[in-house]
Amino acid sequence: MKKEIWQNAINETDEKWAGEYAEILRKDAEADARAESTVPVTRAGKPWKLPKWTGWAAIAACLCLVLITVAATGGFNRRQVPAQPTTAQVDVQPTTQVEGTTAVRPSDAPQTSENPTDPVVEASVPATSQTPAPHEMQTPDTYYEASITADSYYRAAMVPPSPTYFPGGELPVWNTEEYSHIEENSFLSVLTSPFSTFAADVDTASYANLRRLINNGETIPEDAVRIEELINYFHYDYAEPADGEPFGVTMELTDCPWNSEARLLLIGLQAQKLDAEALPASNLVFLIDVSGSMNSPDKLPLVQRSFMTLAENLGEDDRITIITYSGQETLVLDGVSGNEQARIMGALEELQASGCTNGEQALRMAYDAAERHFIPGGNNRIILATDGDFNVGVTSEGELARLVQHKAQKGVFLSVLGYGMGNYKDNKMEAMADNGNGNYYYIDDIAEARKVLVEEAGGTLFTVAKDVKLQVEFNPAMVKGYRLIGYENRVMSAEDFADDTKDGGELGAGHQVTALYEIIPADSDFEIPTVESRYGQTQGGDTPTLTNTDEWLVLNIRYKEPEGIESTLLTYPLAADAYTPELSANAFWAAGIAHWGMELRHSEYVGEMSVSESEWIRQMEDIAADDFRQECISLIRRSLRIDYPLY
Amino acid sequence: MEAMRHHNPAYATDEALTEGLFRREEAALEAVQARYGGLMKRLVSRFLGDARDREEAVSDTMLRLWQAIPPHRPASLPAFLTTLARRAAIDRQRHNNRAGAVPEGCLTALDELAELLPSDSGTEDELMAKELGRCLNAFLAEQPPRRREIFLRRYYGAEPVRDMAAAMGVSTSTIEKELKALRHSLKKKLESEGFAV
Repeated sequence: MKKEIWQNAINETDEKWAGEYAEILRKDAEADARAESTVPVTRAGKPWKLPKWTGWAAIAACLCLVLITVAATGGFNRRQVPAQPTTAQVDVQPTTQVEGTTAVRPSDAPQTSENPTDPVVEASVPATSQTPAPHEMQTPDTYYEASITADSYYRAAMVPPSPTYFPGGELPVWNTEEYSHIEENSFLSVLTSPFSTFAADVDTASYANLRRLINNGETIPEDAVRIEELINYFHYDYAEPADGEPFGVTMELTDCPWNSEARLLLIGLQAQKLDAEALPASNLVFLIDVSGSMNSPDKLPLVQRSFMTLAENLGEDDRITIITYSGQETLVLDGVSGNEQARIMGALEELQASGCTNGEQALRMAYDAAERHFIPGGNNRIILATDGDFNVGVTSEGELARLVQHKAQKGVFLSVLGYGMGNYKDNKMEAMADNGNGNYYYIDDIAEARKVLVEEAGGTLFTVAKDVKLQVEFNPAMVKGYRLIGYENRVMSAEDFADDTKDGGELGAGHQVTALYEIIPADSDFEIPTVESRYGQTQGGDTPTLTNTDEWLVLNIRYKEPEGIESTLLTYPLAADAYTPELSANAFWAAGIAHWGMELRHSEYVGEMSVSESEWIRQMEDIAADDFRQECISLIRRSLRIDYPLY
Repeated sequence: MEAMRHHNPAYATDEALTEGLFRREEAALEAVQARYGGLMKRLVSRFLGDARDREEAVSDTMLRLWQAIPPHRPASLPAFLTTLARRAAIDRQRHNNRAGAVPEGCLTALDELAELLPSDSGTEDELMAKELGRCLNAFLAEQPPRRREIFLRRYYGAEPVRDMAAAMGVSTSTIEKELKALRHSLKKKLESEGFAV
């Protein structure tokens, strides 16, 4: 009777649990299908696995082989003679793939985690599905149809499959990373385009992702290289903000190292820094993707450690909410105080990855939680940690973007931390953060998590100016043309600059923004495409005398206070005498990084030089003042294969 | 091949399938069978040991779907089908009520839960089942995803422990430990909700 009651009670549960179980069944079926296509099966149709004892048998067989060889050759001091045939079927000679066997990529086979880039693991399993189950065999020497290496034998037999959602022990081996296409900025004539307008961008995800690609020896997709994010990853020596202004501005005009016809303009913004005591209380919602695709050492475990690192630095006035999502969104913690460390750490520790990715509902739940615990004047922010695969939900991405924008206007910002590889959706995550008035970072290791969430927590978490837009107006009497380096997906029309409904970028406390331009002086012979006008206006003819100033340009900046709705305009002209041929340390480093990015993107504007030229890289080494810059030097060398080709 | 033969581009999405059922198109039913037949078979096999019983349970599920839509419009077609298939399997199990008809995994799963209830509930079973269902909803919502998956596999899907262990890539003892912890938590939950345990 009690069983009946339970059976009926389970029938009375919400249909969403049925949906979650349906998803579990679907994944099981997929995994079974994959396992059947790659793994030999027993007669019962189950994937065939080696019994654990076969690993020890392999070791014993190897030892026997060695002993027999030693005995046959009469000991180590005698002249070697060919080894006698043995009954063991383990061939320790290096082999190539044998007909009738299956080559298994490391990611298909059980593997150790120390070296994921090992070459092909050779024939560890028979290729046919007719293999009898081990318990049905009479003698060990019929277990294998072909020779296998001792190493692959050991791996196949001894290393248990890592705990995984998929019954076959496999993770996807195909790469489905997505990057938005970048159309590189070209030279524009000042006569036809006197204004260059773009939104500020302090994201650094591209650099950290690039580091991961280089360290893994992977091909670097051109669209994975956002030059402004490479430049902005580093610290520069910029002027501090004047009283009452949220940021200080530094401008330098110097020679362009790779284009003798051009000048290099550096624009640097230094956001106001906040003392730790002056930081407002935080209402943080950790929105964590725990779907099956996060089941990887570089994903959920790193997410857990990242948030633990952040949580360690929270205080009594801070509020923490933790929401996880896979097929189902779950409120794990709801607005607990930052000093309840044990609860927060315990909740983070228990997270497990499985199921599909219902990001949309979870995001709505996160906004509800953030509004429930809203701190007026505080830092109200959702921090989303994901590999970006929002693959379930009824709302289109456009609607999701509008939701995020709407909530940002109400004071709840969204920052995005990207994790992992293989399934990484760079394009989606950057768009989410842009719409949510937040920043976007890629976390490839715990050191990067510490940089983003502890050392630069002020910038990551506390916005000092929002909707920051920059507009450079060039003086045609001094400048013939220009090219903005990077910021391709941040370029705006000139009209949008003064339109406060148009979204700009956000600056956190202590953040820096660096922009570089190649500038062609008015008297240069450098050719810039111009447009012929049917109605007789001068379009690329003689230099006009439109102004009575010898300024090079004027930099206009618009920004809003974190809770403001109207923008403020700041104006910074660059006088004629600003030009100096010598590159400052700031300009030298930024130029080197920009050129590195251009080389990786195979830009048509790289000129004859390469940052790999010994003098340039050596001088960059001289100004590599911190660990981040020194690491970058190593990455430049490896990516451009300077000194030693690694891969 | 089955799926390919029945693949109909007009029913490429679940919404299109539901609309087709609303229009009483038999082709939509065939498309449901092609897309979700495997899921239904997999589920009912947990409850029914006999191949003929399984086939009939799947047929019952399809009939119930045809009768339910319209007027019902499910938010999620696979969730709705899973609910229907489970009920159809249990009904057939009760109808047969013969030894050997129910897989062992299904029986032991219910035994595990049975001990959480008092020997004599003293209330109408139907009412109690409803109350228990409400309590289970709250309990499941509180669980981390992995624990919920274990609960659903064992008690919703009646999966044997060894199959769960294989599917989740862990040992059977790990699953058993997790299940024990889950039952302990559920017992606490039931007590806090006023069930005399």
